[in-house]
Amino acid sequence: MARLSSEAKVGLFVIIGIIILVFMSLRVGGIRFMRAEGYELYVRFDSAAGLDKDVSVQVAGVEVGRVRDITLEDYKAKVVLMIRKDVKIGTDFVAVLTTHGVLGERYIDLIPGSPNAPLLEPGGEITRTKAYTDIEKFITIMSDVAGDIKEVSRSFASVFGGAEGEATIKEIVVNIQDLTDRINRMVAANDEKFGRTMDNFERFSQLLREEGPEIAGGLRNITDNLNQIIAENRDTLKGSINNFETASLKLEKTMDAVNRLVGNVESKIEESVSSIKSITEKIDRGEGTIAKLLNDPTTHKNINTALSGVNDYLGRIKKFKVFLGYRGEYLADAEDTKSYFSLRLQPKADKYYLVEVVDDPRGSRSIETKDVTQGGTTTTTKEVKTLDEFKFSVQVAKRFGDLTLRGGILESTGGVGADFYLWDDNIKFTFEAFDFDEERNPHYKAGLTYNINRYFFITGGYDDFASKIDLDSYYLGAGFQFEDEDIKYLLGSIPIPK
Amino acid sequence: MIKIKDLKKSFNGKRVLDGVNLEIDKGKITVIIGRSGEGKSVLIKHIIGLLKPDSGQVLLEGEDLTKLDESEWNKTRRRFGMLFQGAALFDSMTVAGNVGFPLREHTNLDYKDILETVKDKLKRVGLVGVENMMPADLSGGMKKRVGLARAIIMDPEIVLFDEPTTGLDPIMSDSIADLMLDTQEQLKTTYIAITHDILLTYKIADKIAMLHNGKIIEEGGSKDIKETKNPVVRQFIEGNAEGPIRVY
Amino acid sequence: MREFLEETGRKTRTVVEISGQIGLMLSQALMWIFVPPYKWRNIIKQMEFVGVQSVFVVVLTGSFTGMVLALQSFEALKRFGAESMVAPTVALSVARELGPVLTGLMVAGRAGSAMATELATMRVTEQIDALTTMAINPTRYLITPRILAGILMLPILTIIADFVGIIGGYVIGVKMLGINSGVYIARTVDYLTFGDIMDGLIKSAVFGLILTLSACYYGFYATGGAEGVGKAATRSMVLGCVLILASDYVMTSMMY
Repeated sequence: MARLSSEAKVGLFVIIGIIILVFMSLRVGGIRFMRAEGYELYVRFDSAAGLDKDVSVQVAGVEVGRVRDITLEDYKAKVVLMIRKDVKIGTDFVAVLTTHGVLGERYIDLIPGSPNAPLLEPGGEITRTKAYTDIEKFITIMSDVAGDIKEVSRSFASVFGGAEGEATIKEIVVNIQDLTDRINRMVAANDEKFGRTMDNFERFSQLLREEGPEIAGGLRNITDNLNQIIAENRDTLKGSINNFETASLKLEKTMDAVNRLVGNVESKIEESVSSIKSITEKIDRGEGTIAKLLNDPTTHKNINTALSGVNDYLGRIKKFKVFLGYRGEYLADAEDTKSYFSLRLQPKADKYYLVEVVDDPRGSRSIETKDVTQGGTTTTTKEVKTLDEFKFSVQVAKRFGDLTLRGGILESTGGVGADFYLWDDNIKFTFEAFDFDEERNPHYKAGLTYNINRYFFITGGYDDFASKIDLDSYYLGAGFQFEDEDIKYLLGSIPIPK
Repeated sequence: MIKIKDLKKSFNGKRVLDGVNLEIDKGKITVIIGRSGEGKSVLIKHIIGLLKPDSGQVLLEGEDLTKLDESEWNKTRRRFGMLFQGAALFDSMTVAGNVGFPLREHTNLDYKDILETVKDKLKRVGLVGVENMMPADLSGGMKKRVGLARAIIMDPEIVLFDEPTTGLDPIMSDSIADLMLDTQEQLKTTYIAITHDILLTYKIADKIAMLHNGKIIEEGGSKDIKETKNPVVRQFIEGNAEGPIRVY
Repeated sequence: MREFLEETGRKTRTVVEISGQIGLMLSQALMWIFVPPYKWRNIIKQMEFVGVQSVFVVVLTGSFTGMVLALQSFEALKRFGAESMVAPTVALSVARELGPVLTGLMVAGRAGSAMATELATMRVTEQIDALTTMAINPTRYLITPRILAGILMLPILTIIADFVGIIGGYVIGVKMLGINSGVYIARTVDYLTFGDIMDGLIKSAVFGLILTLSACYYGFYATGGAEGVGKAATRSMVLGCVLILASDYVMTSMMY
């Protein structure tokens, strides 16, 4: 082979260089002829932070143009887009500044509107915009949370699903029997004091099922005592009751106005109540589930992890408190006890959610109007209807200093309430108003609660004092409330069966 | 032909030429002698315009060369040829390339004609068949011959020799001397040589000038110099360490 | 104190003188570009020397640079789960910065120092004087072709370095680190623009000018025999590299 001359070598070298340059420039496509082939649109953003010239403009992830220019106009970023000629942009398109992934490049996404919308002329403005939002970030966090929840529910499903699940539930029942046997034995053998506590606890739960005549009797004694006190101070009391009555008359008028307002939203409230009912029914059916939850160590662990996860997310919230409680109120006139089971979720010291299941011995009473037609004449009769069922309360409460205001669903109707605290929260004045029914007057309730110690309290007051259907009654009662820490302690002292 | 008038030149404050006056005759061989470092090279570089004087004149047929600008020099230099001390052949070119270089650059002769002329000139300096050799492959004497061939390729009127025999053995020196005489005879060129080789000087010089302390202290024919009374010149031509010139 | 002041003065004068001489040399060399007749052979020879003969070393440095960049950036980007960003990291670094700069430094080391040596040898053996006595302008004959070759050849060497650098990054990224090849190419094409490549090429042309000019300067004005030749090579290399890096900063700050 003949040696190449210098000229040939340099020539070859230059040609190779130019070929590579042309190849690369064609591949990267940096040379654009947008001006000739496209048209301009513009869009105004409050902030074009992170946006540069030549940034991609996309519809459905397909590049349709580039950012040609960014200028400031009236303290807003005016962004000029060069759109490919063959792409038509409608007037109702939304321009969104967004990014590819977390570290990705900024681009402008044009979200199409309706197909019938008129098209933008060259030089037109896309008026609908959306700037960067933190929604993406939020969604990322939420998907994490959702992942955790999924995990938990998957373990639930695997525990309770199918025949195997049933078998385990049966096993659980056996375990519970075994457990209670053990508890009984343990309690008998162990601390007398603890035994008594457990006795009381059991008695309380019996009462929840069978009205608990013993407690009722005790309460009756208290009422007798109270009656005696009242008899001794009858005159004074009468005077104050008169005052109360005049006050409540005024209240009645005010409440009429409120009634009218509430009437409009009644149907909605009913809707929500029924949905809550269905939820609680489901909870009812899940009794076995809770038992399983308490006994299965892995579930327990799962819940703990889930809870700690939740706590992590709640971050700055210092303490998320959960209170479980019960109170019974002996209604003097009805000679019967009304029971409240309450769950209080307190994410912040000045805010809590209160969920209550209420067993009212008098049921839920309402007045129904019936038109009876007899021989051409129509008579309208009113009838008090009693429905024997549980009632539900779901309330949101917020505390301002010594005053707590709450509202939501009270005893399966819409209502509001206020609590006023004294003496380091040991004394609480309560006023509630709910069941705004024009026929029977709103249900008002005023009372006073005294905390004997951290767990137990007594309460008394005047219930439904404005009732038109003669349901007003004094009441006296007692109850207890445990914080979740206490419950843990209680559960922790119960040995877990194998 | 060339008249040097009161030429002065300093380097870094040191006066090398301190008023040189010298006349060089046309068609003769003028040899400037002097000790190493006395400024002989500086003097010869002034003649061909490689250096510019601080003051004084170099007149070529009445034209002051020190006043020429670069483009005028380029015309004037074609009348000159120069053989450098180390021959200064271009390492990157063959012998033919070196000798023919001025022709390639300054004439429109084609390759064949240039090669013809080159071969002719090389023959004159006693070299045959070396056209395609590279300078690195040549001996010192051959380099000088090639250098001479290159210096005379354009048939210059004046040829300058910077130490033509330095680094050569006495026999080679003598052959170079013969060559110089030969070529000068043929072309009737004006030769100016600087050297401290006293044998060469006696052999070729029509006129000898002695440069000492930046001045021409003695000039004349070989005979005049041999019989000089000047002790400095005597010491130099006799090669005595003892004398008015102190060697440190 | 006086000595110090005198020394400072001398140094300053030297710097000023050198700058002046370089500027003068550049202006003369550039002037001769526009004066016919052109000595194509000389230019072609220098282009071969600066360009063709530097291809091997430039391909070597280019490909290794791309490979190292891929490895290094992969380690960093893995932490963000952005492995595919290796592609633009390599492509942009090579095209905008490392391609031109490393090519400039390599050519300064290989061709620049050789050029300085050659010219210095010519100076001390009076070949440059010989040119003058033959009525050949040494600037036109020796310097203009070299500077022209530098300006013309460096961009071509750089585009080759860019290309093999990106290929090197691709080979490491795709074959060794397991980045999807389609994604790699797409990311490279997405992020690299013609402007990036062009900026690099403009830089490299300036580097070509700088390294040949510095080589010519120290070679052309060499003194002091064989030792002077060695000094010329070293100094031209140092000045060339320093000026390449300094001018790179200036140009980069002007371009972006």
